[in-house]
Amino acid sequence: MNWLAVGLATVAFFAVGALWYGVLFGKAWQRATGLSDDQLKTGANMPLIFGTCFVLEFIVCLTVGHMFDFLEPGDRAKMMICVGLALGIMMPATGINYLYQRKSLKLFLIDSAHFVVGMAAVGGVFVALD
Amino acid sequence: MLTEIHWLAVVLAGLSGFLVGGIWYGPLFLKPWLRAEGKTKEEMGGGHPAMVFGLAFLCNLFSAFILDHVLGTYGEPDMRLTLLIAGGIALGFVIPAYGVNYLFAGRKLALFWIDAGYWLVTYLAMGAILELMV
Repeated sequence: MNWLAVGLATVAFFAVGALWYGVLFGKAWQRATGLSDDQLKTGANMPLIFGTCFVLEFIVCLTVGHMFDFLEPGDRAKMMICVGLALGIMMPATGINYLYQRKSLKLFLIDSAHFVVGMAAVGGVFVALD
Repeated sequence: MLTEIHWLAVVLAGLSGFLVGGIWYGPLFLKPWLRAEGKTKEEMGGGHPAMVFGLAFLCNLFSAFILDHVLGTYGEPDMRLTLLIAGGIALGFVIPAYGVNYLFAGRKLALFWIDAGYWLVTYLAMGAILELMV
């Protein structure tokens, strides 16, 4: 297991999220969730949220690292696997959850495109470091 | 890497995920799920049912198609390895991914766990069917 790659891939995933929900689509995302500024702030323990987010993304990168250890893919395959995991596994799963919850298409697109870009960054780190 | 596509197994695996959903979000956990969403059954009924369930089924089918491909890249894994891979996908990719979304949107922890159970059971069911039929 390449622990350095797993760690840096987590940081990359996290950075994509910060950019995605901060600078790029923060406003659109908030509108799509229908949450007001107050609702987002009250009772939200931000250090806990960011910490848990980091742990969850670490689990994803750990599973990617474990998969790569087993399959030993080439650089191109690494990128395809990571983007494929986002498109083929995370996106349909998010789709089903959101369909049953009657969430908007816009929220689905923002959240699932985040996975595609985030996982591409994860793949890029593994290609660069493995 | 291209792998052989087992169409019948993929359709049945996709169907199993859809059926698990019907049981999971129906008789088993409809009430706690609605509570976690803070909505009534009527409020949750938006959107044309054919559209909602049709699209959900397509997502189930697509997940099964990809799982068939993933299992193919591992050669012909036996039942034990298949369940480890399928369960690992649910625990390592699906659940943490939507977990991040739920976290920032401030959704209830109960909703996270109900959905997590659905995904783990669904991936294990899909994996078992694909292993038995391939």
